[in-house]
Amino acid sequence: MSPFAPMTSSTINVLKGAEAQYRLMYFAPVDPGVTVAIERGMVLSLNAAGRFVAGVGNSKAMPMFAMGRGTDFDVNAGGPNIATDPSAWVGISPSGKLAALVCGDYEISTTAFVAGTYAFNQFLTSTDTGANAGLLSAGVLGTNTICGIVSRPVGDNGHGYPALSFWTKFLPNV
Amino acid sequence: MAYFDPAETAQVNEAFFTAVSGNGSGMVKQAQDMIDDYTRKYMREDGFYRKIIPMTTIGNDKLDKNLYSDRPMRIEELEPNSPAAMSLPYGGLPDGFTMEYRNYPVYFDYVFTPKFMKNVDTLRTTRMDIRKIMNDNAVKDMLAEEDGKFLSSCLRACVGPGLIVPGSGVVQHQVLAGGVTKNTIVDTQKIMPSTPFSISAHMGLMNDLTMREFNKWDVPQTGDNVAADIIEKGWSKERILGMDYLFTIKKGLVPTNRIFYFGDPKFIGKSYCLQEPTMWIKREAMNVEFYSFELIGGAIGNTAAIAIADIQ
Repeated sequence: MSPFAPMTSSTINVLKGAEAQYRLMYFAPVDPGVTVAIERGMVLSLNAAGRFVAGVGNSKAMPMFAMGRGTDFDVNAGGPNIATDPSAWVGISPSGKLAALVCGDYEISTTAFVAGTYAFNQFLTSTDTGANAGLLSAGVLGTNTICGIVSRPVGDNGHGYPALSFWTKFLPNV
Repeated sequence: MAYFDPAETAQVNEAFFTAVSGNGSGMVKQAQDMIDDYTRKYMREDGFYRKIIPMTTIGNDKLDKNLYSDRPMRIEELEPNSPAAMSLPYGGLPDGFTMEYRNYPVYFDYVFTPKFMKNVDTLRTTRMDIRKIMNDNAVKDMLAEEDGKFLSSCLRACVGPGLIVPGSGVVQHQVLAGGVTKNTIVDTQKIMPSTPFSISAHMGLMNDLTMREFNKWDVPQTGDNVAADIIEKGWSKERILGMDYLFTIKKGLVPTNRIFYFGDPKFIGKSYCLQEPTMWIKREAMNVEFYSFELIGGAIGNTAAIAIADIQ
């Protein structure tokens, strides 16, 4: 999704679960090797360097859910490349860390899913490769790492964009 | 750093205990004015980022809207370039030049201390300076985080050791041999003015171990009076070869034998505070939790106002 997409096109809502002050959050930078744009609600996991990568695939990594975009102003100062562009500036803030909600006792609504039909109690996973890396999709227990279970069918995120609701649940591929 | 006498320390401890053990179990308490004031006082004295680029507190009216994000930001303007004047014979007209200038953004994020937790009843008999511990932990950690972010930006602005910065066409992070001698220091002071922008370095920053190398300077480098002073008091000058220097103990941020140079703040960029350092305190029954936070932003708009020297 373009960094200039409307704010309301990419959303994550914590429908149920701990209040904001008590949520289990994790903060880390996004790995420079991530090629997909990080959108709100996308599935993230930590690589060996402690940086966020998109999706969990069939790994046993803990799924987390992006609370902001990779291009948000409190995450990424953006701008031209200082090493090549004579007009580059350098942001002192932000720090480059993205906030993510760790898989736990939550019901979440997210716009970051592969379009399709999802049934109640359907297992969800998120591939870590390709263009759909980080997006929720149907998963197979025992084959994929499960990061959620559908709680409500696809609906509206309140701003006209489709959103999928699910309970976060970590079932590693063992 | 100022320290309070025992009588005042006890008074502050009592006030803090009263503040966190008062009525209203489960209610969120705002920090008492006195505690807030103490926090702000230490902020002015510690840290070097705010001495290099003074931080200005701004309100919502100074922020700029953005169509694609609700995060606060501010757009700053940079002085436009213009080509040099020219001499022409009769009948000539100058080249056309469309006036252009560029903007750069200032973004904001939070700086937090850890959330400290304590059973209030265990504070009843402590004789430690609770305020000093709170301030030292909270304020110093926040200042160190500010300093670290700023120096990380300075390193990015100079691209890397021995590498040309495209904005100036000059290597602004130089590696110089020869040890910390007067001649080497002179060479480090020449890095910033060597760019086409001719900005003079306004202030230098080094750690205290680098500074102690000046104690090795002998009479030909220091003169008789200073040499005698060094023997008695050690190096005590903050102004060296016509420039002010800051000395820091944060060796993790400023490695030994590295000197950062900064132009006048108006040449570097901007630094803002949206939320002053604030302490959040919560008490539930006998347990108290507290942390400090602030919302700050900054940007280096002109990378030619930063220079770094690594002395070998």
